[in-house]
Amino acid sequence: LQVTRWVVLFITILIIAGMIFTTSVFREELSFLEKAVLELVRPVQELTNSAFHTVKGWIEGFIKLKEAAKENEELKAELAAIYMKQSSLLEAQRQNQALRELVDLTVESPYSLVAGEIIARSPNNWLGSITINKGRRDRIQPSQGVIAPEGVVGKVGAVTSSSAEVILLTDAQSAIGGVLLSSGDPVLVEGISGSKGNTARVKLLVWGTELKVGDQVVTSGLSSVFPKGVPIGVIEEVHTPGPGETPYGILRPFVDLAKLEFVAVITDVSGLINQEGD
Amino acid sequence: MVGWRLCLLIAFLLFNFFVIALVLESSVFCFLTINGVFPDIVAIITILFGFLRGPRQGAVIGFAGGLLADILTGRLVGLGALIMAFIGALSGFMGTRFMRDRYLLILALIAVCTVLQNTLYTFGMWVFGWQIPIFDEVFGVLPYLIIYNCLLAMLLYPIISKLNHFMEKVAIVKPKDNKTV
Repeated sequence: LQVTRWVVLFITILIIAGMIFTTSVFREELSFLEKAVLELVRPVQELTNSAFHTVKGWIEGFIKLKEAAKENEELKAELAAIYMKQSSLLEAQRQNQALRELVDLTVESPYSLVAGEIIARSPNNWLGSITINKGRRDRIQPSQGVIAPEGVVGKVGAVTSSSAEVILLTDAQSAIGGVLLSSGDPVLVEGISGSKGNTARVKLLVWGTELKVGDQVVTSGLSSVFPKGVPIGVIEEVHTPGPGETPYGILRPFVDLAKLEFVAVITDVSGLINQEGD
Repeated sequence: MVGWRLCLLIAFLLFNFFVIALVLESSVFCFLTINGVFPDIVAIITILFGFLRGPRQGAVIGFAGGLLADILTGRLVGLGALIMAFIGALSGFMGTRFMRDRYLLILALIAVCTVLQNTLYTFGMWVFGWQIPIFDEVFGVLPYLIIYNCLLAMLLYPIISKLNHFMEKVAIVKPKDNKTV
């Protein structure tokens, strides 16, 4: 019985190791179980997210209310009612503004975009991904580019019928081709694990290229994912590891990935001019 | 004797507990961060349940919670489950040896388990070919994670303790001949 137990344990560990190995690489399709769990949890996440933002609006309103009450004691009671309403309106207005910018982006863009709202973020401090409320039925496919009005957000990962995972450009699995705006030299923007979504690494693709703090990086347009010239970020630090080793830069994305609420997915790249495949 | 209905009830309760924890983590706590780090509620639940219910149940609870979190993340599925099972078993082992009402001990356990869990996870990521700038990032994430997890554990411990008390209470089934089984 003891031997059987050990054999079962060994087989279980082998199966789990296989599972980890299979899911450690980029996958376009999720398993049935994963899809089922995600479809089950998605509405709850959406609801919680919306409830949280409403409550956040109330709390922000309450804080503002306290400040206003200090300034004007007589109008305290009246302000309470007005401020509660105002905070909800402000939240709606802010969301409206973000959506408006996204709509402008979709209308002005020469390629097809689908706007999506972020309903969840990765429950893991080491992986940088978000979940949006648009999926396969909205023409979202794996590996499509994701942008915001300020610039690149990342690429689509696994997709279900009604939601999609977006691998942020700061995630360790992300790699996006770019060029330095000042010199036009090609670079590769790679994510860094555990960087809390703040930074990415810029690697040089041509020997002899010089990286400078403040250099802006935009998409190269050499892939069928992003059009040319979409802003990615600005180089904050330049590291030179040692003699013979290639220097690399630390890039801060133009998009504030921590506060992002809406994104746009580039679904049709046929409008892109003279694009070559990756 | 613990019947299958009771097992189902406990499993159902825990499943819901984990789902709520993961939903909160992915849609609420990701906005309530300390220096960009959000707490690991599944780990906190695993450690506290393991501490109260022993190594075997701690491992099972940890594995279930970890697997659910892995499935929601969609990457390295199984790694978190294995590590969480180990953490659950470890805290269960500690629970059998120490007094359960010492908050300081629980906080120390949360801190140690958080460090262990994240070290093992980043090591696992490295084994499976992920690039991890260990020193920069671990030291940038871990201290905040420990503080956040400890703070949240203090709030969650009374709730989990009550749930455990309920589980212990319903586990005592009195048959018709008045014998306690």
